Amino acid sequence: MRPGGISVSRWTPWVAGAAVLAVLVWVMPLVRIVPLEATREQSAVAVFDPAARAAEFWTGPLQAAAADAVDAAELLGALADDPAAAAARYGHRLGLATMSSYLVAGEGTIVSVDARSVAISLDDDQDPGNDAEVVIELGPVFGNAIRDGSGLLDVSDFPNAQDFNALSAEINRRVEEEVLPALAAGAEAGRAVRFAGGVEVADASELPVLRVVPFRVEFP
Amino acid sequence: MMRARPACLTACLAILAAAALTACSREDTGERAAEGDGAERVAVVVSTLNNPWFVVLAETARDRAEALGFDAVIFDSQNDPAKESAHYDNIIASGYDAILFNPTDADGSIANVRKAAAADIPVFCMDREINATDAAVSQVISDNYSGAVALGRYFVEQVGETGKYVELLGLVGDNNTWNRSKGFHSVVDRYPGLEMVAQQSADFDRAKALEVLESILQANPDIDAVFAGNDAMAMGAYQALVAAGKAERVKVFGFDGADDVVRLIAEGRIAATAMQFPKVMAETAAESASAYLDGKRDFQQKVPVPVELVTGENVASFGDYGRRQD
Repeated sequence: MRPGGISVSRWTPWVAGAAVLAVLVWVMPLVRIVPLEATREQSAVAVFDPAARAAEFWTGPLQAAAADAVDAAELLGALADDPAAAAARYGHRLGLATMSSYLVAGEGTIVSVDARSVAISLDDDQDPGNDAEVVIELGPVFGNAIRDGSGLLDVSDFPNAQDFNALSAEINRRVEEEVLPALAAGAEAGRAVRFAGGVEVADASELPVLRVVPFRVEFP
Repeated sequence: MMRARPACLTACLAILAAAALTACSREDTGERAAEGDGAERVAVVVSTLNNPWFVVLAETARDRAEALGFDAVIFDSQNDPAKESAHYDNIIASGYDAILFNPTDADGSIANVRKAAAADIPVFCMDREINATDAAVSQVISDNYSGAVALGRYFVEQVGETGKYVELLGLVGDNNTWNRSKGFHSVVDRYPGLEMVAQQSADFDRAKALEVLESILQANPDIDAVFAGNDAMAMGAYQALVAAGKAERVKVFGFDGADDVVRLIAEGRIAATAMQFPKVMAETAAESASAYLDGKRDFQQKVPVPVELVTGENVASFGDYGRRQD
């Protein structure tokens, strides 16, 4: 045995212990230091952004769904014949709701305009007169007509219902900012108009005037 | 050969051993619950029984479960997440078959639901949600936001587009508190003439609401309205206004559809409330639990239940925590 051998063997357990400890601390650190930027990015992913989600929905699935919207006159006829069957065929219901929501589209003639709303007589309805079958209120917009009428957004996909509601509020804000000003500016009695939007119809309501929340309005 | 183990290494190994033992004991708890005796028992865990509305919710859930053939027991969490967690431990250890659950905290209660799920005990939330869609089997929840939007619109009709008001919030950890508040403000904030002079939490509690509003009235004696996030707080606020001699002038708006508030609406002393349907939610949850134990698995995760505006004009249609049967 070399003269220094005793000294080496005395330190060996300490070196081995330190190595094991280093491995343990590496695998299971008592404190993990994470760059601030990384936590910010993580938080940004976790926080729901209703404006971004509404923008994505508005420009993509919602516009595409307009092609499948039920004709407003057809919906009115179906509701007059059998409200439950109309709801089952064309509508969407949120949980145990006592109303159905629909995505509708139509063309008609504006019969009256005031500060709060625009009334429209449909071109292809069964009533040959000038009675208004559709009313578009000029804001503010409340409710969930577009969110729920589209049938494309499911509350079960949202861990926090506040996010689902914030999304609806953001959709309504876009209606107020991007659709209704143009309608208010161009609406006049006798003018033709084309629209697509959401509508909510309560189970207990009489045959309704459809109160449409539009996401698209055009003057052909 | 190592003659002496370094002290720090010994400590690390001890910690590791303790962690391993803890993990084992958790798994054991789950297995014990999963290997229960199979007796069909349902636990009804409710946030509080110090509020008549929740008493109706809990008792309806229990009664419906019993009618479906289960033994059912109510556990009162007393608005305390720690008590709720202790109830879950007891329920799991006792081998209950299902839990009808009204959480105390949308985030804090998730761990309890996961704990039950790990022990193969299905959980069905009632009225209040948890912020997870992969823990409970189903969540039957009030559509509070839409109800509060309707209430907000009526508030503007009744109070007008100018005035001062107070908002009493419920438990700040509960999503319903914020769904109601945000729904209400999504309407009322559109009218700049309506000024909220105070917004304080009274924890959904009648006595706290009385104290809070009495204090607010000292600094704001000229308010026109109070929006309370539930009817217990609306009752407390109304008591404070009566004591201050302001009940005739200040309009009170509640939320829930509690019997005493519905009665005061009929008497013209409270302006409005939003009727939730605790019996519908409790019965739906109990029936879902029964269906689950019979083998059904395709449940909708969230089942919103509508909330209806109750005013002086339609109050005759409501009572007994729901819509009167014609």
